[in-house]
Amino acid sequence: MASDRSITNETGKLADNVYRAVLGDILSCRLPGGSVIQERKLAAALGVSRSPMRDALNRLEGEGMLVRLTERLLTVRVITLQDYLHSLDLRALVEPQAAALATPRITDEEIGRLDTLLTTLENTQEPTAEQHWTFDDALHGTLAERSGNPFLARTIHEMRRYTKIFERQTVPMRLSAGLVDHRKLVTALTARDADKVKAAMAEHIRKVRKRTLAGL
Amino acid sequence: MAVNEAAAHETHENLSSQAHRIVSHMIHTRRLRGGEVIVEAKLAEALGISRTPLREALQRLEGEGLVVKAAHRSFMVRNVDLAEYLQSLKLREILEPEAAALAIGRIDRGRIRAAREEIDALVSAPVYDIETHWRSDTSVHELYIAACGNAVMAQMIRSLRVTTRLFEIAQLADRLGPDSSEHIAILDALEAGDAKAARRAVQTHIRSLYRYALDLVA
Repeated sequence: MASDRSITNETGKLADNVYRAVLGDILSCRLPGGSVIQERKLAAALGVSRSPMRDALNRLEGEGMLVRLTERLLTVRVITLQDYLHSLDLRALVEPQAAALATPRITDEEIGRLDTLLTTLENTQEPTAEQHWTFDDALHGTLAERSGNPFLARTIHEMRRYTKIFERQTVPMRLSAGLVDHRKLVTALTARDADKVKAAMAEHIRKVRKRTLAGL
Repeated sequence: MAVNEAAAHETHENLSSQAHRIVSHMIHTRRLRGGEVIVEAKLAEALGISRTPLREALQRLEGEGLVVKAAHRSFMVRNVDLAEYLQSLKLREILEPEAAALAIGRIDRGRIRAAREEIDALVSAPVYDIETHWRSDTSVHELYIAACGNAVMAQMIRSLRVTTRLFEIAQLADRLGPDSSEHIAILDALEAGDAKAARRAVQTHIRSLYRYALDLVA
C-alpha cells in the first residue's frame, strides 16, 4: 500500500522495525490486552532510542492497536468478545469474496507451499501454537494478497489481527479442529474452483465462530 | 514534582490534538494537496506551535491514512489515484449496503430529518460550498455507519471513506446533483425501515460513484 512505499531513509526503517516488533508482541500476546505501555522500558528492551519508539507507538495508536486511556496512559487494546464477533462478521463478509478473486491469481508455487505446510501439520501429533498460526497466516495472508485488491487485503489483515489476538488469549488450543476446513480450501484451490473456494472459506469462518463460542 | 511537568505535558497533548484537527481540515479543504510534501518547520510556524506536537499529529494522520512517509523523515499528503479509488469503492460496495441493512430500526428519526434538511440547504444554496457538501455527505453515510451495531465495520468504512474522499476532493462539485438524489433515496429507505431497499439504495449510490470515476477517464 501507499504508506509502505516510500520509506527511504534509515530512521524510517528503524521506526518501521520498532513498529513491527511491538506489533508482533501484541499479536502474540507477549503484550496482552490492557498492558500499560512503558515507553522507556520498551525502548531499552529493543535497544533503540525513544524517538523511533514514539513514532511506532503513535502509529499503533492511529491503527487502534493501542488505546490512550488518559493523556499519559497508553495501553494495549483489549479485544472483547464483541470486538471478536464483529471482526469475524466482517471477515465472513469479505474473505470468501477475496478468496474467490484469488483463486485464478494464486501461483502454483504458492499452492504447493501451502499444501506442504498443511501436510506437515496434518502429520504432526501435537502441533505447537506457532506452527498452527504460521500456516494460518500463510493461507489467509496469501489469499488476501492475491485478491488483487489492496484494500480488501488490508481489511482482512486488520480483522485477523483482532480475531487472532482473541483466539490466542481465550481459546484453549484444539488446533487440529481447523485442519479439515483448511484441507478443503487447499483442495479447492488446487482444482482452481473459485466457487468451491468461496464456499469453503465461508464455511471455515462459520465453524471458527462456533468453535470459539463453544470453547468459552 | 511535577505539577508543572504534568501541566506542560497536558498542554503539549492539547497542542498535538489541535494540530491534528487543523492539518486534517487543511487536507480536506485542499489547502494541502495530494502529493504535496509537508514542510514541518513552515507549517509549525504557521500554526504557531513547536515541531514536536506537529510531528505527533502527523504520525496520527499517517495511521489514519491521510499522510504517508516521504524522504528524510518528512510526510506527504497521500495521493489517491484512480485505481486505488476504484479498489476502495469495491470494498465499500461490499460493506456499506450491509451496514445500512444492519442499521434499520436503530436510527434516530430526528437525525434522518436533519440530514434531509442539510441536502435541501445544499442544493438550494446560491453558491456551492464544498464544506457543506462534505458535511451533508458525512451526515447521510454516518446515519447507518454509526447505527450498524458493528464498531469494527464502522471503523473500516470510515477509514475507506478517508481514502475515497482524498480522490473525490478534486471534482466534488459535479457530484452535487447525483449525490443529492441518491442520498435522498437512501434516506427514504432508512426512514421506511426497509432493509432491502436500504441495501439497494446504498449499492446504487456506490456504483454510481464508481461509474462516474470511470467516465472521467473515458
